[in-house]
Parts: sequence; C-alpha cells; structure tokens
Amino acid sequence: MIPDYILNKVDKPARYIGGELNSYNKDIDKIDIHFAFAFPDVYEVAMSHLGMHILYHFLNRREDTFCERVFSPWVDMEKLMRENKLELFGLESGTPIKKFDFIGITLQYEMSYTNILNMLDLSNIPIFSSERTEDDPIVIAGGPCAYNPEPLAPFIDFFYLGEGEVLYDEILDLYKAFKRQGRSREEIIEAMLRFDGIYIPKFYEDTYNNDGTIKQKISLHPDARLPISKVVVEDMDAVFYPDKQVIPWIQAVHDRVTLEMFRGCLRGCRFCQAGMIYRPVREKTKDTLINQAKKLLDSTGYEEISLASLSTSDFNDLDNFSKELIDVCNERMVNISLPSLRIDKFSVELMQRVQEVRKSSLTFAPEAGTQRMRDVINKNITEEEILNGCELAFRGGWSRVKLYFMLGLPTETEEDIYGIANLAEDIARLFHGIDKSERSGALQLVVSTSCFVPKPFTPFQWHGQDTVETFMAKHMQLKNAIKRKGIKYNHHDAKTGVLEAVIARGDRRVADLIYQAYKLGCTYDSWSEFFDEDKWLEAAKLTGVDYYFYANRQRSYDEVFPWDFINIGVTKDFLITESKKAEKEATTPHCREKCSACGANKFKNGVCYED
Amino acid sequence: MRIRGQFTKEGNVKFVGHLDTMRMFQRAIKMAKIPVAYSEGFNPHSKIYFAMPLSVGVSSVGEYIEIRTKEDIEPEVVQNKLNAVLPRGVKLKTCFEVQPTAPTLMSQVDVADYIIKFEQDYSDKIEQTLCKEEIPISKRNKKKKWVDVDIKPLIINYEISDAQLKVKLYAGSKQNLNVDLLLKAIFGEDEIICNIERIDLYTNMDNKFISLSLSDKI
Repeated sequence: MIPDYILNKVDKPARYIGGELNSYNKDIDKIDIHFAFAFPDVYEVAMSHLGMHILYHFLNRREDTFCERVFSPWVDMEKLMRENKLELFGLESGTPIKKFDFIGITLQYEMSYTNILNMLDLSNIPIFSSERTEDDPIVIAGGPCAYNPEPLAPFIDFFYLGEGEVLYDEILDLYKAFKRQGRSREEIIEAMLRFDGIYIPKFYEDTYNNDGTIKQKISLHPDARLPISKVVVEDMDAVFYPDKQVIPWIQAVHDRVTLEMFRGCLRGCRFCQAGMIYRPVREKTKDTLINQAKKLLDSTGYEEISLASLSTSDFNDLDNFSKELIDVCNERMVNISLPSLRIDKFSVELMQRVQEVRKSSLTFAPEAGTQRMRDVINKNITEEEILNGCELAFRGGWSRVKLYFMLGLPTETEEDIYGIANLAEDIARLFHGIDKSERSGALQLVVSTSCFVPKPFTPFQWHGQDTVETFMAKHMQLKNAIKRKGIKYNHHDAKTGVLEAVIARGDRRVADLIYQAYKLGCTYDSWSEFFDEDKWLEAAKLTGVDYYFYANRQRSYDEVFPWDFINIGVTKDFLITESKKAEKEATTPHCREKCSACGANKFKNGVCYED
Repeated sequence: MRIRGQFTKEGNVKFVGHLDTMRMFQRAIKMAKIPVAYSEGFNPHSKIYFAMPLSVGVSSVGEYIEIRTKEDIEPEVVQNKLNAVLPRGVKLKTCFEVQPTAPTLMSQVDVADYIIKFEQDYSDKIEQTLCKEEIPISKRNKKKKWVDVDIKPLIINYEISDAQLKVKLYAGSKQNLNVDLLLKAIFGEDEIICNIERIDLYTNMDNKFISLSLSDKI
C-alpha cells in the first residue's frame, strides 16, 4: 500500500486507493491465481474501458482467482514512487505486481506502448521477456492492437488473439494444474502452445529480404502453429456479461453503464480495423439486452446508459429494443447516450426517441468530404442522406453538431479536402435556411479531422501514409477553406499520426524504437502535453528505424506483412479485392445486404448465418 | 421525510474528495433502493445533502448526510441498506429522522472538533503558538487576495497530550477555521507528517454546542 504521506502529495490520490463500489476484495491466502489486469493509461481513462469491466468480473467470478486492476500512475505519482522505491501495486489489495501470477495488459492504442514498459519497470519486472525468471509474473497482452503483436514481441510472454471470454478459463485451469505439479514458468508458457489464439513470440522468428521487408515467419517449435487463428465468442446471449461495473472514485471519461449490443460491424469501411478484426457481427437478443440493462442500472445507480457497439443503429431488432429500453430508463430516471452514429434517417430517429428532453450535441462521422472519397473508403452514405439527417436533427431541436473527417485517405485530391469545407458550409446553410421557429438556438458546428493511419487487416494496409509535411499543408488548406465564423475547425497532430502508423504496421525491429524512446524518457505519448517528438526521432536515429519504411512506403500486394501469420477470418484475398475496388471507387454492400465472402464465416456464427 | 445519518470516512477513502464522495453516496443510495426524492426540472437530481466538506486526506468519524425520501422509511432500514453497499471505511453509525422544519444541515454547522496525531511530540511548539493572545496569519480571502487574520478567536479550546492535539474550532459559513491553516500557524511552511481526524460537527444553541447527531432529532 502507498503510505499516506505520499498520497497526500499527489494530484487525485483516489486514483490509487481501490475499494470502489462494486470492486472485489478477496483473501489472498485463499486463492490460487492472482491476476493483474493492466491498462497502460491513467485511472480515469482506464476505468472507462468496457473490456476491463468485462474481464475483471469474468475472472473474479472464479473463486480460485483474484483479478486486481493496475493502471499507469500519473507522472507526479511515478516520480514519488521512484524516489521512495515503491513498486507498482494492485489497486484492490496493494500487493506488488511482481508477486502476481499474471499481468494481462490491454492494447487499445499504439501510443500507450511506452507506458507498458514503464509499468513493467515500476513493478520491478524485467522489460524483456527473455530476462524474466521464476519470480516474475507471466506477462500477457491482448486487445485490438495485439492483432499486430510484433512491435511488442520482445516484451510480452504471450499474446491473446481474440475475445477474452473464450480461453481464459482454460488458461487459468491449466496454469493451476501445472503450478500444483510444480512445473516451471517456462513449461507453463510452452504449454500455452496447445491453444489456437495464443501467440508466444519466442517460438517464432522472422527472416528478412534485402529490401528490409519480411521474407518469412518461421516456427521454432513443433507445436508453434502457423497461422494462428483468433478466437471469438459464438453465442452472445450465453456468454458471460457482468451484472455490475466498478464505479470509479473520480469521474472517468465515460462514467455510466455500458451496454454492449453486439460485436463486429456490418459496414466494411475500408479504413476501419475494428470493422475487420471483430467480424462476424454477433448480436445479443433484445431480451438479453434488456435484462442486462436492468441489472446494471440497479447495481450501479448510474444515471446514464450508453449503447456501445460499432454501429449501434444497425442492430436488427432496434425498433423494439429501443422502445423497451426507453421504458426501463424512464422508470429509473436514466438517460440513454449513443456513441457516434451513422448520419442516416434511422439514426436520427433513434436519437430523437432516446433524447426527448435534453439535446446533447450530435456527433456524426462522414469521414470524407466528397462522394467520390466516401465511395473509396466504402462509407456507404450519400450527401443527400447527410443533409437530410442534419435537417431532421436541426428540426428536432439539435443545434450542436460535431463532424469527424479523415485527411490523407488513399487517392485523396485537393477537391476532397475542399469537399470537407463545402459539406460543412452546406450544413450551416441548411441550418440557417430553416425558419427560426422550427430550429433552436444558434448553430455550433465543429469540424474535426484526424490524420489517416493505415492499419493492419484493412484494405488500406498497403497504403503509404502522408508525411507530416503533407498533413500539415492539408490542415492549412482546409483551415483556409472554412470561412464561416460559426464553424470551428480542429485537427489532430500530424506527428503523432505518423508515429502511430510506424508502430501500427511495425515489425519486431520497431520494438527497438519503442524501447529506446522509453529509455530516453518517453511515456504518456498519447497525451499531447507529454508527447516529445524529438526524443522519438532521436530513438529512430539510434535504432536505425526508418519512419518512411514503415509509415509512408506504398507496399505491393505480394509483400509479406508482420501480421500475416494471424488469421482473423477475413482473408488477405478479400482485403486485396477491397483495395482494388477502392481504387476504382466501387463500393461493397454491407453483410446483411449481400455477403461478400470475406472469410469470417469460418467462425460458423453471427450474421453470416442469419436467414 | 428527512433522514439524517452520521457516517465515518476512515482509511484510504479519506483520499476521496468531497464532490466524489457525494457522487458515491448518490450511487449507493440508488443501489440500496432507498426511495430518495428528486428535484423537478430537466435535469433531476436526487435530494441528498451534506453538512460540511472534508479536506482530501482528512479522515472522520463524524460526517453527516441528509436524505430526503419520497416515501416514509424507517431510519434504521436506511442505515442497514446503505451499510450493505457502502465501500470500506464509509459507514453509517446512526440514522434518524429530523423535524420537517429543521434548518438545512449545512446552515447548522458552527463548530468542528479534530484530533491531530503527529509522528513526534511537538507539544512545546504547539503550546507556544496556541497560548498567545493573538495568532496572526496571512491567508487568501474569497477574492484570492492575501489578508492578515487573527485565528485565536476561532479556536474554542484545545488539549495537547504527547504527540496529539485535540481542538475545537469554529466551522461553517459564519466563521471557519481550517485545520490546515491552524497547522500553518503553528509550523509555518515546515512539512510535518500528521494524521488529521474530524471527530464531530456541532450546532450552536445559545452557546451550547449540540452534536448534529442530536440536533432536531425526532
């Protein structure tokens, strides 16, 4: 436990004390497995993560297992911990992480990687997997970024590819049995080879071509499989879902009940990694959802419930479900919040239904400014639908609208950049064209652009990303094109965007860059106030990692990628077909309209097998 | 119906700030299914009130909450239901109904007492300061300007024993002495390690200090 004199000195000490409503407390002497769930960011961010809430309760439902949470201490706390030689600890019991059996790290975004190294170091656990001994916990990593595990390969004992509910029970049972037999840490890790979905980096090696690209991935162990398939939950109604959530002491980024309606996404937007790696779409039934909503609201006392899924308005039984949910929520004085929605009529109607009184701001993501560009990325939405959706929203009483776009998408031209400004202008005109009596307040329109980062397992995984200079020029161009005072424009930082691309499509050599940057003092890179580009550039120089090679280089279809050995269901052939269709500005229908044979039907469930 | 409770805030929960403690109680009251009343309007909030904020890092065995319920409920039931869900360190010691006409909790606070435990014996130093006729110290006023104030009249009594100081101070909206300011008056800018605990809050009835656990009780 952290002593009082230290907690008295740090900002928001409640980040470090545990003991929240709905958190667990178990007798450490009466458990067999001590598991630390790690989120490599600060408390308020970590506590907003749905996956953490699911796995925390999933693991703690086992009597033999105590899952504690561990997050990245804020910089003030880290400094005091180092000065006072305090090790990183689990929030529930205060036990040093080094004494745990497992530390399971969730990989949600690349810019959190230096924090992972820092957390291991603060725990007194060797950063490199090869240097760990019997005294160290087994270090696991999972989550969306694990689909390209290579940039973290030297640091992680094994990666878990897929959804946690599938294998963890078997993994823990196996661990317990092996531990009872007195088997070594190495033997336990090796035994994980029996599971498809588990990647143990030390049993594989990459060979390289002269041009620096990968030649081949070689298995170094007879049981080390190639390829490795992700694991997915088959029956979303039967799978465990927590009936409580730990309620953070201090207000988290998302502080409300989160109801997961389905996994996967029908849409197939070509820039979107989540849309590919979580296939196939698997829904819960309405009754399951209503039941879970009631339990969660009653056990948390929250005043808000959020419907979390990739494209909420695509839910099959949306009409009946939303009506029933509204009744449940009205009874309990609870608001419903919806994540960023498609901009179609369907979604706006849903918004209207759930927010009868308070009109929060509407967030839409057209992603691109012209129809041509939206066709390239397969964002199947027309300008007419966007304008109609906005009109409906304006007439429904909304006046605050946020629009999200990406810059640097493949085949982007000047016209596409100006298209963003034009679309925003058209929306503003539309608002002012509506009679004042039929709309409310003054328009607050925010246009936000991010820098497109090509991600593994997307049809754009071959794309050479724009350079920092190009992105910055595009920001200026768009800024100058937005003339109306009522429209606010902001954009993400190009430098972070390019580094993210280096790491996202990195191979094992990029691990050197991450380690070196960490050694130079980089942590909290996703926080603009801490991101230090110079240190990263210095690390790149020291390690010989060439940003251009990883971020900006256009790849050919026959190149072997670091993540090719993972089978997500969706095939590389499908991604190539999609990439070629993008070049021709041809769109692909969504899963329910027509199956495009992406390969995800190998999982034998979900939307692929709907009538 | 107006139900008041006296509760503790001990152990690590003392690091949870006042607003966060209020939010925690709001959730706990809903979790415990207490029939709490709601305000009217677009953004209804549950009718829960607290007596006086407690500084982060200060523990207490005498905090107060008032819950207005929309239906009658036995105070003891509220106490049991809430204690079943409240986190470690927060516990309702007693719950009671108060007169419908009772003033608000916050307006009733006039006095607070504290026990401050030090790591070493500072008896002499404390006595030297507290026995003075005047104890001047500069503090920021509400307009953030530095002003000199005499805190002596705000100290009702004190008791020094070994490494411990027990003080009764004026508190609340009329006149208030913060413990941190008192410690600053004694120790200046020196960093001293101590544990501060609030013991109870009182209301002033004709110069008699009545614990809020007794005031307006039905």
